[in-house]
Amino acid sequence: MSLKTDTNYLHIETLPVNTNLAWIIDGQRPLYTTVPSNPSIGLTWEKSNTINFGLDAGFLDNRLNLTFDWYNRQTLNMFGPGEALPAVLGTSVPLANNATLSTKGFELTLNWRQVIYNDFNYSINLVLSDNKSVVKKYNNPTKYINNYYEGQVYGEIWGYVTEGLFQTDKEASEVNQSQLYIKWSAGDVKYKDLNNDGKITRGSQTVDDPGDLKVIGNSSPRYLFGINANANYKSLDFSVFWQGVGKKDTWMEVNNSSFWGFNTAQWNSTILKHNSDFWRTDNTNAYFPKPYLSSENNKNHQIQTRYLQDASYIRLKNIQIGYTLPISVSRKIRLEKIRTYVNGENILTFSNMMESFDPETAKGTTGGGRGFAYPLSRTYTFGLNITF
Amino acid sequence: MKNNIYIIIFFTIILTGCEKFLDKEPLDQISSSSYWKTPDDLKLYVNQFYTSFPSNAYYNNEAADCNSDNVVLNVYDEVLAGSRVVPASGGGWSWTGIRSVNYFLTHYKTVEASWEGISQYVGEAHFFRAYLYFLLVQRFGDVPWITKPLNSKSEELFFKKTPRIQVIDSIVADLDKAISYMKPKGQISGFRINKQVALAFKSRVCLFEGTWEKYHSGTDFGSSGSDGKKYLTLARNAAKQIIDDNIYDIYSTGKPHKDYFEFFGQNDYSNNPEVLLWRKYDVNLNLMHRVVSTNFRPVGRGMSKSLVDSYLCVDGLPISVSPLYAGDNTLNNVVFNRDPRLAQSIWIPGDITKITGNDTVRFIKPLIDGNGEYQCTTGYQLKKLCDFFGENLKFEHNERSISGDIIFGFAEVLLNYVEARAELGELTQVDIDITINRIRDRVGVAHLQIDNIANDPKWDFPTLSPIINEIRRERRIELCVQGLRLYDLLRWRAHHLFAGLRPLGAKFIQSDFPNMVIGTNVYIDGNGYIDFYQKALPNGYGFNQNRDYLYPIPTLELTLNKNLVQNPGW
Repeated sequence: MSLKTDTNYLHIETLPVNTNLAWIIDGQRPLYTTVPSNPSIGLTWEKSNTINFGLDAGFLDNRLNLTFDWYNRQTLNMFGPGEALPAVLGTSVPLANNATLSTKGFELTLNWRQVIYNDFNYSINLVLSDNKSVVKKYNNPTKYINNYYEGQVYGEIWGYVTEGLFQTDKEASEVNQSQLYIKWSAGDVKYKDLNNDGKITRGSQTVDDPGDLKVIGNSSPRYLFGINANANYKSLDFSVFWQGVGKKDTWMEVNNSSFWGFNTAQWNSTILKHNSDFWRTDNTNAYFPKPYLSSENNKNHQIQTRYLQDASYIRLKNIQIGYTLPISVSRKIRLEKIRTYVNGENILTFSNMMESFDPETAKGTTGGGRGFAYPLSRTYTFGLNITF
Repeated sequence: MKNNIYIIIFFTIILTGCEKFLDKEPLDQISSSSYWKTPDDLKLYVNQFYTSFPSNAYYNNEAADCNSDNVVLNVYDEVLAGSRVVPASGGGWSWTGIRSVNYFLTHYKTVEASWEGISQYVGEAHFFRAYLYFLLVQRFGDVPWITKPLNSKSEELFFKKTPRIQVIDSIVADLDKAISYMKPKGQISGFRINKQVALAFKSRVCLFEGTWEKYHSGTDFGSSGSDGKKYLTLARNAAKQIIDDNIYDIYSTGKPHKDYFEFFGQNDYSNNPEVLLWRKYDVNLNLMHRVVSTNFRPVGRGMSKSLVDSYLCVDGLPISVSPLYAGDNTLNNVVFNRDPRLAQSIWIPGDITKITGNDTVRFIKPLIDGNGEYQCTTGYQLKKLCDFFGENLKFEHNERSISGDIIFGFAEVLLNYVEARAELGELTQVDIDITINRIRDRVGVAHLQIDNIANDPKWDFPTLSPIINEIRRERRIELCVQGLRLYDLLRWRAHHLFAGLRPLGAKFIQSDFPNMVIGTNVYIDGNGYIDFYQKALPNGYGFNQNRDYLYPIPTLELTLNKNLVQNPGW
C-alpha cells in the first residue's frame, strides 16, 4: 500500500549533474547542474499493528475444510506523498512518513473434497478475499480531493455524473458548463448539476466544496476470488479454474488514445473499431462524444460516470481434460504411464468492460499503462505425458 | 573478564564503523554541502537557465506570433479567442525556475574565490530571476515575490500577491545588479549573456510596464497612482546606454532587397553587429531544428491581411493614400512598390526555393490547399526566419537546419528607445533618425519625418498621435514573427484590433486552386479574402477586455492558499 521509491539519499540535498545542455557555448554543449529537491527530513520505517482472527475448521469427516482470517492492520508513519502545498514552493513536496492507514479485510478458503466411488472423486476449492483501506490521519486540512485526506477510502475516484450527450445546440446552450470549456454544442457531454447551482463546477476541489464532483467509483480491486475444481473419473481427469474480481472501476485517462481514439492532434490519435461509435448527425445514439482534434476534446473527457469502466470480471483461466491409458495397456509397451490432455487458458471472460480492453491487465492511468498492456492470449494446448 | 573486554572492543569497532558507513554521501551525485566551492560550480549551475529563452519558432507557435494579429494559425489562439478556462492546476503558474535561481542566490556566497571571478555568474543568476519573474508578471500581473528557496514549512507559501509594480521594481533591481556584475560584450563568451543583454532586457521590461501602466490606467489591470512614466524613463535610459556604447549596428550589405531576409537565416551570428544574444545550432553536436516557414511546409500558419496591409509603400506612405499601391489581387501586386521587408517576409511567385545542378525551382503559389503543417492558412505564406538562400538552396536540410535563433537584437533596442521617447513626449527628429530611419535605410524605405506624417485613415490607433501610430507600425513590421506582438497588443490595451473580428488573408484565386470549393474547404469573406476561422469563430475572437488581459490562477492554488485572490473577471 505504501509508496515505492527507488531513490536513495532522499535525506540530503543533491545536485543532479546533466550533460548536453540544449544551448551551445563555445563549441560545446556544456555540463550543467540543477536544483536539488527538498530533502525528506527524518525518514524512518513504517510501523504496522495488525490484529488477526483466524479460524480453521473441518466438517463432515474433513470433507469440508474452512479457513477464515479477519484482520485489521493499522499502518502508522506510512511513507507517502507529501501534503499538497501551493505551487510557489517550486518543487515537489518531499516524501515523508506522514499518514496513518487502516486496512480491514478477510480471507476465506473453503475446500470440499469427496470420494464417491473408488473411481470417482472430486474437489472444489474456493478462495475469497477482500480488504478496504481508509486514510485515518493525514495533513490535508483543506481536504483537497486529489491527495490523501482523513476519511478517504483508498482508491476512490472523483468525477462528474454524466447525464448524456447533448442532442441539439439549443440543449447545449441551456446549461452552463463554461468552467470546463467556453463552447458546447450537440454531441458534447452533458454533466449533471449535483449541487443545483445552475452551473457545472469543480468547486474548490475539496471534500466540503466539491462542486459537482463526487466519488463515482474506486480503483482498488475488491472481492477477489478463485474457484478451482478437480474431478477424476476412472481414467479421465478434469480440472477447471475460474478467477475474478467482484468490484473494481478503471478510469481511462484523458489522453488514453486507445480508449478515446481521437486525441488532441492527429499524431496522437489511434482510431480503433470501437472509436467509430462517436456522435454525429447520423449516429446520435453513440457511446463516445463528438471528437475534436484539439485540446477541446478534454472538455468531454472529464472523469465521469459514463465512461468509467467496470473492471470487475470472471474468467475461465484454465480448463483441462486428461485421459490416462489403463496401466495394463501402458505396461505392455514398457511404460509407467501415458496421459494425453487438452488444456485451455483464458477461454471465457465475462466483464462489462469495453471489448477492446482486458479487465485483468488494462490500467487506466499513468505511464505505459494506458490500456496498452499486451493482451493475454487465449491458448489451447494438446499434450502427451509419458513416464518411463 | 577477558572475554568481556573482547566483546566490548568488538562492539566498539562495529558501532563506530556503522556510524561512518551510514553517514556516507552518494558517489554519483553532488551534495549541496560539497558544492558551491569554485567559480566553475556557479557556472555549471547557471548554464541550466539558458534554455529558458524561447525555443525555435518551428515548434513554438508563440515565438512566431501565432498568438497575435500578425499570424493566423490553423488552430485559433485561446487567449485571443477568449476561450481559456480557469484550470484546476498548472496553467503557467510555475515556480520551479524561480526556486532554482533563488537556490543559487542563497548558496553562492560560500564560494572561495575573488568577486572578480564570480561576478559574471552572480549577475547571470540575477538576470534569470528577472527574466523568469517577468514571464510570470506578463501572464498573471500581481504575483508573490519570493527570494529564497522555500520548504514545506515556509510562511512564504501562503503569501499574498505582491502588486505588479513592486514586482517590476524588484525585477529592475535584479537587472541593475546583472548590469553591474556581468561583463560587457567582448569580455565574456559571446554565447553567454552580458551587460548589454541585461540592458536590452531592462528596456523591454520597462517599456512593457510603462505602457501597461499608462494604457491600463483606471482599469482593473492598472496600478492606481502609477502613470508609467518612471518605467518609460528607465526603458529609455537602458536603451540609450546600448545605443551610446556604439558597438551594435543594423546588419546590412547594401542590398535592400535581400539583407532583411538574409539577416534572419544565418548559421553564425558571432560577428553580426545586430545580434546581442542568439542560440547556436550544430549538426555535429546534435542540436538542430526544422526550418521555419519553408516554401513547402508553412507549419499551418500564414501572415494576416492586417499585417500585410500595414507595410508602407516605398515612398513612405500607407497603402490607403500612396499612389504607388498596386492593390492586392495577386501576390505580385501586393508587394509591388511596397516596403521591401514585405517581399522578404512572405513567399512571392518566382522566389527561388531550390537549386539542383542547373535546375532552379521557384515558388509558384501558397499551399492554401495543404493539410496540417503543410497548409498555409491565409495565402500569405511566411518566409521570414527561413534560411533558404545562398548555399542553403543547394542541399536538403529541412529537418537539419542550423540557422541561429536571435534572442535579443539591436532593432528591438532602437524601437524600444524611440517608443519610450515618444510616450514620454520628448521625441525629436534626431531620435527618429538614429532609430527608425536607421532601420529603414537597410531596406531603402523613405524616411519618417516627424513634421510630415501623412494622414492614414486606417491608422490602428486613431485616438493617439500620428507619430505613436507610425512608431507602432514600424515595430510591428520590423519585429514581426519574433514573438513580441502579443505582449505589445496587451500593453497597448489594443483589443480593438482583434476582439470581435476574424483575421483575414489574401484574396482567394479560384483559378489557382480549381479543386477547392468555397464554403467547404476554403472560406472567404464578402470581399473575396480568405477567412480561415469563418466556421470555427463565427463571431470572431471572443477576447474579453475585462478579463483576458491576464491569465487565471488555477483553482487548486486558491484552495491551498486563502490569501491568493483570483485575477479580475475570472
